[in-house]
Amino acid sequence: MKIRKIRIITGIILALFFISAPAFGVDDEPPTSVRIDSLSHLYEGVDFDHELHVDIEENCSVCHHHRFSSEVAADRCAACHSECGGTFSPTCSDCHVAEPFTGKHIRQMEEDPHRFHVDITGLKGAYHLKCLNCHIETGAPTECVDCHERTDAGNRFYSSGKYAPTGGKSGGSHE
Amino acid sequence: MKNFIKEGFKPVDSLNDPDDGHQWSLMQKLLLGLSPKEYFQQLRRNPFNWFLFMIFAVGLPVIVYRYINGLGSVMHGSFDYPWGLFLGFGLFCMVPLSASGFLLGTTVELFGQKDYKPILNLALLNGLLGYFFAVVFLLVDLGMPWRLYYPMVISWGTAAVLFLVGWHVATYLTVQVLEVSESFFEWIGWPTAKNYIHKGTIGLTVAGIILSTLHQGALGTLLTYAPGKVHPLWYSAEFMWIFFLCSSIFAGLCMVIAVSTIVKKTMSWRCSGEFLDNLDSITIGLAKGASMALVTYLVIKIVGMTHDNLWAYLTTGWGTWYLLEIGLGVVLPIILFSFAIRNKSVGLIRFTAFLTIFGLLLNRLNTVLISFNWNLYQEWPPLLETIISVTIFFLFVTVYRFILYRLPILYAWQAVPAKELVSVPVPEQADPDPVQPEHQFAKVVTPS
Amino acid sequence: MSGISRRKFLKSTVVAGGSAAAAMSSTKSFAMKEFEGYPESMGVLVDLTRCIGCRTCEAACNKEHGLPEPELPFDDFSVFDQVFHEGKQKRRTTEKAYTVVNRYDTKAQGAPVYRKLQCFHCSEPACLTSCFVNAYTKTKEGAVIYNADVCVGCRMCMVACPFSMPAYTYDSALHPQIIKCNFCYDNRLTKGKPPACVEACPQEALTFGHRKTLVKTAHERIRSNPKKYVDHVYGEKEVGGTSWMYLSSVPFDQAGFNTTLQHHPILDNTKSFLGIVPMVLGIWPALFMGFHLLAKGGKGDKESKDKVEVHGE
Ligand code: SF4
Ligand code: SF4
Ligand code: SF4
Repeated sequence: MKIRKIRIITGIILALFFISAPAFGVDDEPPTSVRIDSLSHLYEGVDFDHELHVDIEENCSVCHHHRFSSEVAADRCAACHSECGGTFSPTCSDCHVAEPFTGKHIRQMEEDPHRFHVDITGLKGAYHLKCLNCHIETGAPTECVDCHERTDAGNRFYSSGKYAPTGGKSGGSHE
Repeated sequence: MKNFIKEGFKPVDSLNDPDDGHQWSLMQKLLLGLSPKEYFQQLRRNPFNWFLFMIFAVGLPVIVYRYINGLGSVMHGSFDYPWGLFLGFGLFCMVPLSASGFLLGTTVELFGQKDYKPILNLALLNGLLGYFFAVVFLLVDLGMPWRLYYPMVISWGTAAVLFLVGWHVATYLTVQVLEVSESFFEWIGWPTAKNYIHKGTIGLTVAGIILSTLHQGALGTLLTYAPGKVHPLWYSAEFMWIFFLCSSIFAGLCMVIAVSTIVKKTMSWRCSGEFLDNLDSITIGLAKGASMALVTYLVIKIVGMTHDNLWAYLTTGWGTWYLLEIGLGVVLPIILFSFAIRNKSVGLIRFTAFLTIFGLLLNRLNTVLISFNWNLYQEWPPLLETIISVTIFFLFVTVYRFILYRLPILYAWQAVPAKELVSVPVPEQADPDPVQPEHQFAKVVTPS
Repeated sequence: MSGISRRKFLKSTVVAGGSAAAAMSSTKSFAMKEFEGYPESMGVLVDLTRCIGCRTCEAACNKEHGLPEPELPFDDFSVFDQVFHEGKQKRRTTEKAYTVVNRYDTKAQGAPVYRKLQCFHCSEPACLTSCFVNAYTKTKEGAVIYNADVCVGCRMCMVACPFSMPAYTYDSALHPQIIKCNFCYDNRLTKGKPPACVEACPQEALTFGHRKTLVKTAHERIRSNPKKYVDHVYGEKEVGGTSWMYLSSVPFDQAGFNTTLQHHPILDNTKSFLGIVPMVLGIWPALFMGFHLLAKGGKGDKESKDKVEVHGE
């Protein structure tokens, strides 16, 4: 029973940020909004306001390694990938896998001698590292619930909210 | 007791009542030949018994409390200080103080220094009881004492130094039980068993040296598992075992001096004339041995300090504390001992022996408890832990005294020409020490 | 002979049984001059530059192992202000928490550094080598696990652990035991899954993989970002190497690490003593018997002859 519960919870955390981005049109128009929610268990999904972020930061390469139709921007990447044109999908989940640490995936990464990028973060890591670091740098909101509401299961996980131990305060911030 | 002696009472010191020649019963032997009423009287008269009673009245319930509520209820239950007084004092101090058994065993049995014979039994008993009570301390300290035999039987951690300590202490305890059992068999009246053990004396003594050398050193080595936790001044990966082995030598010798001093002061009625007469010269001899060990210890300490280049630490607060320990516990004793030996001042030797023991206690406690986690925080043993430790220590004293009162440790078992005792194959007096011509009775009775 | 070989050697000679694989690896390491760790060992690289102190890992560990409810919720960050023993110690692992995250306000950098702490799963664990009932096992996956069934409760392992990681249920009278992170060995590692804390960390501050690979990854991260990292992989060499390793942007001592640890296994410290054991066992009996005979022989009296006869028996 306990094991099952644990399995469910962990499975859910893992896939928490599995992206379900809408299919992109070939017209190279960025989406206005992306819903990141495929396994929103501890936290609700995020309605990512893509348009807002495009307005704030016009340089796509700040967030994306590449776009559909343009060249790879960063010099470092261009050294190898300049020929690739815009053929890559900009969708994070194409390279950043949801479960980076399964035995199978670790082996895959290690056993391919021609693979150059081996230290690729998983999807959840990619999101948080990208989003949160920028939010911290730019003074944008940084608390977890600023982007996604905590669910009931999330509260149980953190022993918070109505699951808080008596006497403890919950939903604290780093301040 | 002294009162009875004054009245002309003579405690049991032979198998048979010298008056009518009948064999003492076990009960009579236990009561030293007094009637139960008299025995109780003397118990009550001695204020020390009241002192013990008070300690046990407080301490024994605390021990029970510990077993009911777990270790956490009496210790500070710190994860950074897993060991407290039980091991810091009970194991790390009791064991070196009990090195006396193998030291005197070697001197008398192997090197044939029969001058020390009168004190040999005391030294052996001191060793046995010290180890035994170290194990008692261990039983209090272990989380699951009923699993004490696990390292022997269930699961072997063969590469662990503690494994070696465990096995050696267990084996050595057995050796010591055998050694002391000679006196016991004499007392209980099984001369055959006694003779049988006596034949193994040399073997037991050699076993004692081997085991002692190894586990005294091993206790020090235990701490090399915790470099960085033990302050560098008390730590040395290479020399730790030599420090501990060497200090156990003077500790054991000084313990014999100290115990014999107390014995002489408080229970001279139980000591044979031979013991009392020779005690002063023996004490001087022991002091010579101890000061040699002290000097060696000081030298290797200095070598160790140079080797690890620890001089800079001496200027810190820890350094002062360390110098105090070395000064009070090593350097001062060396000076006092050499002065006292030259002037044959036995009183000063006795004082110095106590001082040295204090120095050793300080050293062990410093290493295991006080300087432990020196760069973290310091923690003092809580009250209940201290109470238990004191209680067990006085339990040790009580048992010690109980045995000294009875077994032929301080006195020689007298051979009364046995009227009914024809069946005893060997004359009593021949067994305790055939090597010893000056034995009072040996001269008279030994058939040659 | 390196420490591991002695241990393994003793183990393989003294303790009967054991799988063929274990025997093989033992002979292998016995032949090796320097202990290089277990080839298959997994590990975790903790990148302090990524950690945001969200304590999700603590919560995940707590739920994974069904540990007692915390005193404060896992999203209560006031715990970072907790100090003990007159401010000399921050939170540490306890019998209720296999892992804790602490905050360090460092001089070197404006923003605080957070450090997750748990058993390091040493390659040559001091807890294991100091245990006299062999309660610990270093599995081939790299986890250092503990068996409460044989533990006697002497707490030697707690003394020996260079990181003071093992905690103990002092309050249990009948079955006290050591409590520490087990690398999620039973539930996850053996099933090809990463530890719960690794999986839960939103920042991927914890990277799970083969230790061997992680060492390379760590150096690669430093190489490709030399300004960001201190050029040291904590745990690569410390006490002979640990399965959990750390990268930091501030000097490690400022993030609460003990930077004075030796770079060879703790077990090595007992070598100089263990070296004399066979010597004492072999030489002492002959030596002292010799002394004895000399002492006796010199006198040449009757008793000494008695004595000599006695040994003859
Ligand atoms: S960190 Fe401590 S408890 Fe963990 S494996 Fe190393 S020595 Fe053992
Ligand atoms: S590896 Fe497992 S047991 Fe260890 S801290 Fe992480 S979740 Fe807890
Ligand atoms: S979950 Fe990750 S980011 Fe959060 S405190 Fe733990 S290690 Fe740091």
